[in-house]
Amino acid sequence: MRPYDAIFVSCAFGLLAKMPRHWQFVAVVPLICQSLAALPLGRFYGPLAAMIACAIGREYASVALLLSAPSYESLFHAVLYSLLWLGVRYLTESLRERCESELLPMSMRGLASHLFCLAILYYTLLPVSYL
Amino acid sequence: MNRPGPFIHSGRTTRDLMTQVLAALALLVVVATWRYGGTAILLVAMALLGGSLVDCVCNERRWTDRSSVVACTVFALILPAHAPWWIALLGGAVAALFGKHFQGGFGENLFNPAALARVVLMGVAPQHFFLISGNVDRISQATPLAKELGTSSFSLHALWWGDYPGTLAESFPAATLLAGLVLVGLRTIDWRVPLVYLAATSFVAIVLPPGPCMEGHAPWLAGNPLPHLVAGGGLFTAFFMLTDPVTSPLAANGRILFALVAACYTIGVRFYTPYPDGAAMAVLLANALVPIIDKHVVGGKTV
Repeated sequence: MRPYDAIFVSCAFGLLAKMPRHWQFVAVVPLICQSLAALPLGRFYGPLAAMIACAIGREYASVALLLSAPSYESLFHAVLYSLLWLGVRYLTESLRERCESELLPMSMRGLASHLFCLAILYYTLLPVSYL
Repeated sequence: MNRPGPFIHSGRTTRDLMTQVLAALALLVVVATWRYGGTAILLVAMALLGGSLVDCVCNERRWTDRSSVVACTVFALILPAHAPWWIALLGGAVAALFGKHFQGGFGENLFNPAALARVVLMGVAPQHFFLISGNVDRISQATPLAKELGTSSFSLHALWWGDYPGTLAESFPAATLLAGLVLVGLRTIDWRVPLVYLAATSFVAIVLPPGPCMEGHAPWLAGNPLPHLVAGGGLFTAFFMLTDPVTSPLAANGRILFALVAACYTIGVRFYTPYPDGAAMAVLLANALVPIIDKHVVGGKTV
């Protein structure tokens, strides 16, 4: 899975999971994974990164775990994807009121509308994955 | 709402405004037909057919309405002239279905339907938007901003007269500018949005250093605002897509910020990614920011 895909899949999972109070801390997971990758951990890298991600995420463990899955090429990429995750998550939260509006057709209200917006953001921000 | 009432009706209806926009778009369709012949008419007709079919299924009252006609015509105009007819048909349907009906119908959509259709189809079938086609003697691609064109640049004359292969809206940039200025003069669209977008695009194109995608491929695009204004979707986006009153912020100050975001993203995509043009994506990103802008940016005249 590419880091860019992981960002959006984790944001989609974030819509299903209960949002913790300090959800923003999850954004450090790519940075931690990048730091761990620099250490000579060998086969212990994966489990350790997953455990740290779950510990940071707590209620958001599934979201954090998805962010720990891809390998980040460099520190720049880790920072970029951390910021991207924060930005996309904040944007989807800002659209919550609109996605649950009674103006939307019944079949599109709520999660369906959230996922629709997320899919549009995926295509809109796709050029970022080439940086 | 940014300001409390009472509100004074301007005397103009949404129908009047859409008729004026449609008239301006008709001019661009005529110019595109002059440049590309029957292909332009076929693409516009297919997009309208796609939109009408969706309206027919989703809207029981009318089998077509003016908002879909505007959205589908705009979509057809941002298609490359070499696009197959079925892309236009599919795009018209996507614009009406995902851009309008799935978002609550006319007047309630968050995202610009035409930009949405273009970006979705660009993701699904990129070969019809980006790849160079035709024989080796005559290259046809989506826009002269395509970096794979190499170091060959276009003259000022060629850029202004649309003497290059591109989208239908790029057939004759001077006509797009004229049609846009007429809409500004009629007060159909807010003048701030195109002004800020075009000014910010120029400024950012001058000050941003070229990215690795551009160096060695198309260095003439860096530090030179003219191709970024004239070629690609710049002019058309400024006058016909960002000015959509439904998908732009309410307050004047918000609209300025909205146009700034779109300009920065457009140039960022052109400079630092392999994508030739990011105008449609910039429109969608700016649209997604509208709820935040409306919430936090108030002040200025509510338009």
